[in-house]
Amino acid sequence: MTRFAARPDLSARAEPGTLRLAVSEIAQDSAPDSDREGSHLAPLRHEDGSPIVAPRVVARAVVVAEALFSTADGPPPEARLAWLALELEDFLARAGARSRFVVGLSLFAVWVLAPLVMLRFTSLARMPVAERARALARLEDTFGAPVLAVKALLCVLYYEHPDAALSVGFDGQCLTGDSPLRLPVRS
Amino acid sequence: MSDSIVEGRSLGGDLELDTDVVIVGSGAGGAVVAAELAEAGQRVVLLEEGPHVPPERYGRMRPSENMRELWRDGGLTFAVGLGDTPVINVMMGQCVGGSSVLTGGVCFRIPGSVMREWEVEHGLTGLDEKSMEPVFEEIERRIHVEEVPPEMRSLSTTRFLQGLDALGLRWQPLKRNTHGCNGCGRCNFGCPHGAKLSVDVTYLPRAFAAGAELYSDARVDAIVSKNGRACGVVGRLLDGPRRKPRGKLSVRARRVVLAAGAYASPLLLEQSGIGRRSGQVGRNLTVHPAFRVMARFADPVYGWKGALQSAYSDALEHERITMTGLYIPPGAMAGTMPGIARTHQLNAESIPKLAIFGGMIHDEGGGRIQRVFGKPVMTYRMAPKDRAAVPVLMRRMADAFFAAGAEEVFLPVLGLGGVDRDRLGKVDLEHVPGRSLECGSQHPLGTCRMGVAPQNSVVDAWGQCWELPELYVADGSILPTSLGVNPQLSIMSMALRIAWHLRERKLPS
Repeated sequence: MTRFAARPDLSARAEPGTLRLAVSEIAQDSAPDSDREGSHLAPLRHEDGSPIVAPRVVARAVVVAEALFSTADGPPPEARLAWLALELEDFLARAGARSRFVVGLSLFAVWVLAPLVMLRFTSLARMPVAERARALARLEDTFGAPVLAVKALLCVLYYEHPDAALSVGFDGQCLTGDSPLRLPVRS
Repeated sequence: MSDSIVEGRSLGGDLELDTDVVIVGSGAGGAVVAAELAEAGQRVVLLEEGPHVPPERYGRMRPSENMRELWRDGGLTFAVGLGDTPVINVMMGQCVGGSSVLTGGVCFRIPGSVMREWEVEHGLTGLDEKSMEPVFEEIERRIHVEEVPPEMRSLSTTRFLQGLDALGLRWQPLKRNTHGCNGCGRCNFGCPHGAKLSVDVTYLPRAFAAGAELYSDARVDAIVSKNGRACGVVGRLLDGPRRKPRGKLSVRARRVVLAAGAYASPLLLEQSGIGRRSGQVGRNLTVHPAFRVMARFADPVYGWKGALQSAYSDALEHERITMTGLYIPPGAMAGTMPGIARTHQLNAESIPKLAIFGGMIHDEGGGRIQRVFGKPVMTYRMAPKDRAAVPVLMRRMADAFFAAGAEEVFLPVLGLGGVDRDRLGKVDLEHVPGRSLECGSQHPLGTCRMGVAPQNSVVDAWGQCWELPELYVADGSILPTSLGVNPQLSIMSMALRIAWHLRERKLPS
């Protein structure tokens, strides 16, 4: 077990009412190896440290993920969501402007339409997680394309976390790779 | 191998080169031409827009890492569906080795019926089975095409094949370019064991041994011509993970070979003002629209244990459908299953019990790639008979899974959810709107098609551009029609045929 103190400063970029992540400590079963070529312990950002990916895009995705991956026990651990946020930010930063546009547009559509299908005139982030999940499910049934785009990307990233993969019975090694997880930067 | 690869990002300043042949693109087409011409004694320079990620590195990446670094647009390139056509996610490689690094390794010769169509309807002679036999044989030998043995077959695939047997539908084992595969089910994300013999581990090393040089992170912006013939390319070197254009790139060459794929090749021609007279550049796009069908069984099948692709069925070829085995990462599976929160969790927890098989349409040209306000835009309109094949595909594949004992199937229809055998008969698949279909493609073809007249094609029967002598195209864009089967070996074969022609053809002074 390796422990990392991490404080991803997502709260500063979250929209009002969105999930505020303040991860103090993240535990991972798989030890990362920062010397390994190709490992990135922080998302790709501009040389001056400013994000390439619009912070609101990541914040919105985390709000969707919190509902999407919630179970009978409640939403996923905050640490897992923080990890997912960094993964998403890095993915979009590297994948290029076109993919950022596609994902940003899909997230915007979900953000606007999900409350409307529940006849709620509020931000998705202000809705309780259970109601948010119902709104997303209804949107998926009625206007599924943007939900699919967002959900597919979030799931690809989320289930690469060994704990998430194991939670659904996946024990394959090759499809999780043996490169280290991109963990939040040590503070 | 790496001695012959210069990473553009590591170069400071501009780059000017002089060579015999410059090849744009290092994938299935470009690598073959490079090896053949270099071994014939010609000076060869390859330019690759994507990065150089060696096998020992991409083999250790997680799928999403692979996507963000080796796939064009992180795997999020889409063809906009026109009319009753779904949006199609078109996945392509953008790295040294191109899409060959990301295929399942499936190798099919160009079907005889397709070559006959090329001869009868397109007037292309010399592309019959007998003439192409030595070409196919040479490629198959070089990349070690072998049949996937039964013991390598996943239980996911086996279940579907049992269903086909029960329905009396024929199937065959697939052939792949592998050697020493241990069946870990992730060919699409770069082989972790070096067992898939993609061109980065076969043809490119051959080219380098014969003196060819490859520059990665090198984006070509235009083909240069002088005195009525191609004489080089210009572009930019890309720097850093964000791939910002930095230094200028200029290559003078006696011959130019374009092998950037069916997406990038027509864009480069269009940008260079070539091919306008025919009006065919970027048109005639075919993609083999593909649909996955998943099925839940009572017992686990652990579909990730076994070869990613090991069998196929052409029993529905008369319906223009080819069914091919596949597997996708658990995250992608979970993402395409319906449900949010608890429903999502329940569906995701069934991943070990999920079998999956794919079906693709042998489509007619209905798409186009062009620049709109300077940005590449891909559009696609399914032909009516292709569109009519989609519900047939879904129903027959669902039938096969039920015949094998599946409890529930998941069809690629947004909002449909799981369907049991009773409900399948009540679902009106024939009237599912295109926008509700989930469709993917890894086989864009035909955008610079080959032909016998400049009025209706972009290149001649040897790949030379009608409008610009000494500019050749040698990639999937030259195929006159779709194939109905995975195109890797077909692309390599067409490239080899062109390379052999160029080997004998004197370089211009």
